[in-house]
Amino acid sequence: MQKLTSILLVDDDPTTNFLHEQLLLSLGVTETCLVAENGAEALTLLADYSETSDLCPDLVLLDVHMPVMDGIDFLEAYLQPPYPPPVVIVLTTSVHARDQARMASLPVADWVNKPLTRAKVNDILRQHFQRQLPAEQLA
Amino acid sequence: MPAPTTPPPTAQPGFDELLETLLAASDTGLAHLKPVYAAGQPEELVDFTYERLNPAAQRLLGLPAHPQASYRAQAPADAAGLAFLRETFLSGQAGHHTLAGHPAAGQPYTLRVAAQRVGPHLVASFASAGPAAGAAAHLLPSEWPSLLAQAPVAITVLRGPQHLVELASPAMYALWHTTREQMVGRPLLAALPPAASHELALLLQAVPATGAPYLGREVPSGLGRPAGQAPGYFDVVYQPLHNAQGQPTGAVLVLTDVSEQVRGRLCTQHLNQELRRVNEQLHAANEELRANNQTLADTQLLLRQLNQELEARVAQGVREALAAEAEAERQQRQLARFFQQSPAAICVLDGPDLVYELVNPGYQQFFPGRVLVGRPLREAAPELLAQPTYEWLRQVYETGTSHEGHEVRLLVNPTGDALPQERYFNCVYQPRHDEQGRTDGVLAFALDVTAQVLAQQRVEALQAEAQAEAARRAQERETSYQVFEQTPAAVALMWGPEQRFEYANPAFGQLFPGRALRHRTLAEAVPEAVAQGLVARLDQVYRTGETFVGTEVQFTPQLPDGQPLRTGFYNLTYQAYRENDRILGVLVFCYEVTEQVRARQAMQNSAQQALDLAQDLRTTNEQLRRTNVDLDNFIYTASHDLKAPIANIEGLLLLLREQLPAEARQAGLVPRVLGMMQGAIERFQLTIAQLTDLAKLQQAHTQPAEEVNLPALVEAVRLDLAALLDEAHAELRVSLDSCATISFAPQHLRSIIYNLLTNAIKYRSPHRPLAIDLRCLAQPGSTVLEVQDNGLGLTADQQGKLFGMFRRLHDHVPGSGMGLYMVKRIVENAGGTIVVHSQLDEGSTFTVSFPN
Repeated sequence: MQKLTSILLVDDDPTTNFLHEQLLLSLGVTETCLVAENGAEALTLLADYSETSDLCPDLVLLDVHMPVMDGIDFLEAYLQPPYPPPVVIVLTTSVHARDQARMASLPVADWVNKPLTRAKVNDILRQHFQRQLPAEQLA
Repeated sequence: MPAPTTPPPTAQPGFDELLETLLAASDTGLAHLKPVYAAGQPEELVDFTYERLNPAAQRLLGLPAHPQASYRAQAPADAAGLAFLRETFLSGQAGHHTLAGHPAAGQPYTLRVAAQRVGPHLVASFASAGPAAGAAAHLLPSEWPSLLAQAPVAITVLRGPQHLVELASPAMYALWHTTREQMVGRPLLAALPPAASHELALLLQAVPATGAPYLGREVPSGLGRPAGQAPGYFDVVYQPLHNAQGQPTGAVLVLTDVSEQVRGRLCTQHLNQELRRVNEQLHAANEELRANNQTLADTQLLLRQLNQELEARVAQGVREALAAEAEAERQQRQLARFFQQSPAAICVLDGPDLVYELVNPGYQQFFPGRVLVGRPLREAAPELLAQPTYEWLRQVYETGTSHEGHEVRLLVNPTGDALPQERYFNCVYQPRHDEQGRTDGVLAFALDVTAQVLAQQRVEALQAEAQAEAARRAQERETSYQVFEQTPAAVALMWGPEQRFEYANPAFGQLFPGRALRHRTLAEAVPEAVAQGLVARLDQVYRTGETFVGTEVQFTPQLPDGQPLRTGFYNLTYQAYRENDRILGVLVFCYEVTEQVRARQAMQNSAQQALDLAQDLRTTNEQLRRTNVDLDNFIYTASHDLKAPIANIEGLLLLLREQLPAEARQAGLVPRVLGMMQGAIERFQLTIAQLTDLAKLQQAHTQPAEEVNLPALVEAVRLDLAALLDEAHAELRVSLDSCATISFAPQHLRSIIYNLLTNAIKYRSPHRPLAIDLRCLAQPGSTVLEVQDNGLGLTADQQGKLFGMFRRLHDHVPGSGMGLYMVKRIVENAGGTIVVHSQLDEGSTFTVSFPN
């Protein structure tokens, strides 16, 4: 399977980031996970690792509730140039109706419930990157 | 008819008159003109003067009979006319000319002029050729026959001594009863039929033998008339014609039938004569009557004189007779006057039958229109029989003693037609005696004293009434007094400028027990009233007369020792007491309303309490609402914030399990501890899931209702549950014919059906194949949805707990215990109901009722 260039993990919970990084690395989806603890850091990282960079992220896994700049604010800012559009997947525990309404018009590729699992990762790869995990990884 | 002859050289007597008549009568204008020569040149003819114009010429030319101005002066523009006259005069030949003129007054004219010199004179005739309306109006000589043909008069022109007919108008032929062919060119009288010839000859008898013109008026003639008819009348013009030399050439005869006019006139004359005759007769008759009248008047005069003599003699005789009787009558009259004029009713009754012998008018007035004299009383005045007066009269007659009655009541009938009236009389009945001293009659005097009696009665009645009134007033006073005495209201009368108690009823006294009130002022008797302003009010009412009304006046009476009694409330009225408009005191009405006031105050208090309570409830409600919002937020936050850490723990546990060496994973308690940790995580996650469901329910109110296609919705749910239904080998029977739609929030309706069907599948019986009936019934006011299964069923105890939160009555299948609780909440939030009927081990029926 061809690996993704890098994946940007945006969550204020370091444990969650740690677990997701471990899962993605162990499944061999990518070699590099960039980690941001809020929307603002994420925007900075995206600016640092732009299209020209070798580590420009193919996928952003985004939490909704975060201090400093939450997921929705991030998405609204992200709409502005110069950022190119990688695939954004929102990871949530539960979705409040008002949040869902706000994000309806934002460029979200998909909604996935936490915690991330191998099956969910495989679904994301299949639906958005036309690839899948090797069979032995899914066992 | 005489043959025409040369005219005589001189006018004969009568000719002038004839000529004048002809000139006057002729419709042809005739003028006599004289030439005017230039001064000094007798041969140079320059003008003409008018010597005379006949009436026709005057009319045609618009000139007087003797115009002063010459022809040129009259018509300076008419050079042609002047030239014509001049040439005619100079030539001596008859000349013809057409003359156009424009007189100052009247219409323009065109005249045919014929002129002929006669010695030093010129004679001209004018005939109208019609108005000068243009060339067509000029008559040419060739048109004359046409003119003749239309002439309304009979004309003929005769030529020569034989009177050959040259021409004649149709009217003339008609008179002659001939035609033109029979007459023209033939001698007139010879050519005519004999009758016409005879008549015409007669008609022309008067034509002078001299051949002079002849004018006959209203000449009677049978010409043109059938034989036997009355003759007609004609105006006849016979005009001899002469040539330029004055020799006779013929004649013109013009006959105008004037029969109608003549007959009309004759008729009028006849009528006039008749009238005159009648008038004369009437006049004669009148004369006769007048003569008769005179005779009568004379006779009357004679009679009147005789009468006067007779009257004078009679008057003399009468005077003598009257004088002779005067003395005797005087005495009788005095007696009679007394009897007649006496105001009393007097009568004399004769004999035992009491026959009226004498009755004066005073008596007669009570028996109007009735004959009394000569009739017994019982017949003439039967109304008296039943009254005491009759008996008295009889007694007087029988006993011979007189009787007097005082104010005797009698029913009499003085007006005749009305009901009897009550009258009172003072009366005296006196016996009359004959020469032997025997009673032979009764003399009755009765004086009408009704007015006096009635006046007396009125006085008595008034006195009785006054006494009754006094008694009534006394009773009223007593009653009023008793009313005041017994009334629960306090009443007092304060008298005089100082307002001393004149009267205070017991109720008033009870306000101030043990105090003397009478003849004391309010300030003295009730000193505490001064401080409370009640004395000042009393003074004010006495001074101004304005009533004071105090509502719920607060007053605290005191005990004699100065201890205040309980405070009371009084409705108070001070009203001025007046006699003859003078204020003499003040009436005090006082009614205690303490209880009412207290009751109202209590009511107001409870109303206030109710308001306070409502306010408390509002506050509590608001707090609860805020709490609810907080709770909503809490559940959401908790479900989110708790999910993340537990997911992390689960992830970490998984990671730890992978990181542990295989032998360590199996060593000691490790496998069991790992398993227990996993179990604890799952229970935690279940609780969180339940909280999440609850959070969703908080939003249940917000979803709007809409018309939901029920069969389509059920079909969608059936598809979602297809796998479960297959696994359970369940049969789902759907019957929704009676309700195509339900008005409800679609998501909620789906939840209800999904939950009920899922429950039926979950709690199916292991002993029989599952059968589920889903039915919908439209009922008045609601739509009922039923889900019936043949599953495990519920005990009565279970049915009571079925809809509680977190109730899971079975543990062999997964479930949050939230499903039915949520269904119930959804249904009830929408105003509906849900009930369950169940039999253990037989099945359950859930009945949901949706309001329409």
